[in-house]
Amino acid sequence: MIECRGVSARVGNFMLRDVSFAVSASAYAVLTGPTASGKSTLLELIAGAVAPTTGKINICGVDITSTLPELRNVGIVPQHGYLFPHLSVRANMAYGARDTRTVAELAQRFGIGHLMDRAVVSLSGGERQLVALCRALAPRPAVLLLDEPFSALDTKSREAALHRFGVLQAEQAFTVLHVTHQEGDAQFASERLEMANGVVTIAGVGAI
Amino acid sequence: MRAGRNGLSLAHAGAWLLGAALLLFLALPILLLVLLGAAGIGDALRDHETIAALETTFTTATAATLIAALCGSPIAYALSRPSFRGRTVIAAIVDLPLLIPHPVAGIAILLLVSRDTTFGSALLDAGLRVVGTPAGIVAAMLFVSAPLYISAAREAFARVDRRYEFVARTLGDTSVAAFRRVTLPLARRGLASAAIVTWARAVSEFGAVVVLAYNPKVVSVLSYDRFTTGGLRDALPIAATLVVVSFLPLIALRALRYDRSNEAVS
Repeated sequence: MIECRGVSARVGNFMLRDVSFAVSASAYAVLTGPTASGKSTLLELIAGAVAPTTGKINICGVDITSTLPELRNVGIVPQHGYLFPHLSVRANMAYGARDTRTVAELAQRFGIGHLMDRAVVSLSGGERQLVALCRALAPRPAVLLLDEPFSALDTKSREAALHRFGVLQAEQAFTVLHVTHQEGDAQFASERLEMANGVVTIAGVGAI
Repeated sequence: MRAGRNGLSLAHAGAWLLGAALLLFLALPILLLVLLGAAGIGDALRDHETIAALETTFTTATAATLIAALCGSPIAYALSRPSFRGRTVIAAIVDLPLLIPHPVAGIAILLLVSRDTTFGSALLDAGLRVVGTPAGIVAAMLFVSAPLYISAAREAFARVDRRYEFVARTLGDTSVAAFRRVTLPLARRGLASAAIVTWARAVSEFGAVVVLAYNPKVVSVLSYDRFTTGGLRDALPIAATLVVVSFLPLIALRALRYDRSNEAVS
């Protein structure tokens, strides 16, 4: 599970203030809110890119507030993917993977097997997002943070990717916190959070 | 309106003229030097003193560049990242050699490494003589060129979005592994450019080198030596050779930039 208690942070001029919420273990939580409300910053806090000024972050009951990003067992799909441009699709997906079989299975599951030997710069926006998702899934993290991971996909591909991801999440039972502006992305969600002006306004299951 | 447009055209023409005048001033002396000295380059390259000076120049400049890259890259990386305690002091130290006249830089290094000083005598005891040796030339070249490497490398690292490194760490990399696997490859062209500029600066250094090591002669010192002993006619072939050699890093830089622009298009 993901638990934030009284977490505040400053990134430039933006302040995240006294954020408290919990997402149950193996839950699929959707985080919504207006632009610049602090959703991406919250994900970066949980993943370890930003250090909180106050408060505690727990993952699966362990306090990871000061833990290095590589030791948190938290994966992230950033808003723009951030695929490594000097590596091929295959190398990107294998970057943190447990084994090559996992990479092949993920590529097959998300229908990107034909892209494996392509250069990242030659991919479309939607293809990049799918590769970024598979790359984050490959190390099998306990928690996966998604920042609008399907925003560049057309409606049909988006539906397919969401369905495949939802099935995989149910199979492997990892915890998901999914930032989105699309109401349709919430179809697999078991919990819902909302943010406004750097504060989490909690709705649905998960309130503390 | 028409008068305004005419005024603008005049301003454009004036700006172009001023720019063209400066370009001519930069290019003409070098062009003349190469044209007048070109005939002697062949003879200069058969002259064993010139060959020795070229060898000394290349080896010492390469050594200075390697040291600048090895020791300067961590500093450049640190300076490219968000503010930390002592950053201003480090940045000031790095910029300091750029503000000092090069002969003064040579004198400053001499104060540190001459045998009359504790450090210099310790170096001598360790078997390393700096003054009047290739080590002195490397020290002089390093002092004047390392700030250029650090500055260019800092830019190269700053151009790599920090999120790449962060994503690599969420995939299991330590900070060192993320630097090696992601930041370094993404910054490699910028670092190569930095090394080329550093090497070129080291090759052309005269002021600091001549204070620390008149001998063995590097090409810049040899051309000065020939000028003072034999006049312009004797100095020209060596000077022209040095200019031609200076084109090599320029061509390498152009090739790197051409490669980068092609990559950006794809």
